[in-house]
Amino acid sequence: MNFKIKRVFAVVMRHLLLMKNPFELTSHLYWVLMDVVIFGFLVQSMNRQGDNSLNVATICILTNLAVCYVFARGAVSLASTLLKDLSDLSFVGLMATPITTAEWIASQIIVAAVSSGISFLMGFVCIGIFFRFNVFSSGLVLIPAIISLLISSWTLGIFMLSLVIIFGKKSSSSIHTVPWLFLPFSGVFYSVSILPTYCQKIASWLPMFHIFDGLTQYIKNGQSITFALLKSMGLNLIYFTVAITLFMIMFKRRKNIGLTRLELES
Amino acid sequence: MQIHPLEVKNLTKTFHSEKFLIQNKKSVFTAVNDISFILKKGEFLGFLGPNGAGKTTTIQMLLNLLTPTSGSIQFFGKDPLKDRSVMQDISYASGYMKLPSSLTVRQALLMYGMLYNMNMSILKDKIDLFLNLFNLKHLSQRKVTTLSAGQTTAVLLARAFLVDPKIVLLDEPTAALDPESACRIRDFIKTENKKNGVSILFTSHNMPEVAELCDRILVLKDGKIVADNTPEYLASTVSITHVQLIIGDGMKRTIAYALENKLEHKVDDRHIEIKIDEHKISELLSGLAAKNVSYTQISIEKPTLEDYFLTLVKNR
Repeated sequence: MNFKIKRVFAVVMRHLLLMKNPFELTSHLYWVLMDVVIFGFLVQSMNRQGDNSLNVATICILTNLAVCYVFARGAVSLASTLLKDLSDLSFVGLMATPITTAEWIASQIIVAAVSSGISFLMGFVCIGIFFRFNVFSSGLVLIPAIISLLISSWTLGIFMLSLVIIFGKKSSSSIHTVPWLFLPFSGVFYSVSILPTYCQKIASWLPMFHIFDGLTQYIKNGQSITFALLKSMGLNLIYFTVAITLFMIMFKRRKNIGLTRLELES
Repeated sequence: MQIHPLEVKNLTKTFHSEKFLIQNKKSVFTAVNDISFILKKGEFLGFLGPNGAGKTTTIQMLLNLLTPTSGSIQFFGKDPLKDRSVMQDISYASGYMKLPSSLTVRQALLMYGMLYNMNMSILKDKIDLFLNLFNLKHLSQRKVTTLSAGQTTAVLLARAFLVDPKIVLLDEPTAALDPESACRIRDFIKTENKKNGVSILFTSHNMPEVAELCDRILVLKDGKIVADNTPEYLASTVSITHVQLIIGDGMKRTIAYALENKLEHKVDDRHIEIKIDEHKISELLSGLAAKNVSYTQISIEKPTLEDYFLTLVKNR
């Protein structure tokens, strides 16, 4: 198989060097900080106990918020890397090298994972500073949850890559909003049981819902998260396969028109 | 059967109008129409044609950036659509390409070498060598976005030859260079071609450059190959000559004669250059004599590749 790790790292290196930009890092920090402060303190004030200790609802929200950015940031980052290459007019130059589509996608996934990791770290630090709470106090259960959310983020990211392949640079404003479409159904901030029945049905098809709901149940009632994890992983596997297949079809169609045109289209 | 570095057979590309990648089969435009050619080992092959002739479309298909409608492309007997590893021996540079922003010159070269899976220690040594060779050493830590167009072209060319390619596709590589840099780059490309046997497919609108570098030229017009020969032969197929005269007396009468006979001409002080069919030179000279024009010097230049190209464009 013609898969070379060095080629993958060449592309990863290029995007990691882009991330060194202070504005890029600030954008990672800003939204995490805002969400942690606003939603964390909102829920704490609504469920205030006599002392200043954190109530269970706040712990659930903070834990969910910390891992929620693994999903959202990773998905946006995966599609943004292609948009950056298109804006730079360097995508055609990259595709004219021996790099294969599989190597290129692998590099996008690694960059997205790094981006997710930075956002999680930011969330972890912010929650530690503002609420004196360690999100890992729930235990190592967070690790498989994060892995499942990472896979969900790659799936959505690859789906968004297809959108960029179809619509080109015009899609740049919308790809930043797509992950947030799924959050109302994912149970990050509230229990999905308060939603109308049809919304609950939609939620049950989302791998993220099973993770956030599973984490909430685990923190509140000590209920095992294994079944939720399995459901989430199963759905991830199906959606990841669909996303990759869709991308390959769209990439092939785009090559019929020309990658150069994709780069030059405004 | 002999295996060539590049063999193109019956290559055709038809474009349809499309919306959201769904093509409308009714609306068709054929950019490349059933072309076949071979690039031999160590050959310097020119690819000429007016704008819209299909040169860039062909290069995009060779690089697998665009899928052909029909026909085949084989590098060293292998189809790059089926075996991507063959791209390891092919590199590309264009005067209109950009380098990835945020990288320094050295990082851009390092990234490119890694994309060709080069050994890291060899790659680092070669980067130093090429930075010196292309006079880029002092720019090695500069961001590529701060380079001038000429410096960017030099980095792109250094990048193309850094990876020990067997075939290099060069699309107007000297378009953004000043004459001195263009000359240095041409010498480098010639050396790589002759000394290391690199096969080169070269497009340029700079005809003297094409005539100087290329062993053979393919001429594309409306998506078809209309000529395949040496630069000298192609130039000889045109009967246009350049008659150079230093006029002693009668410059105004000479210009009037040229205008009357609709002859293309250029005047510089006492010097006039008249473009004329070689069969009509005697007619020109007797016409000037009839107008009492005296000249102190006359020279007749053979037709050039540029004349061939201009004739081709005029006959569209």
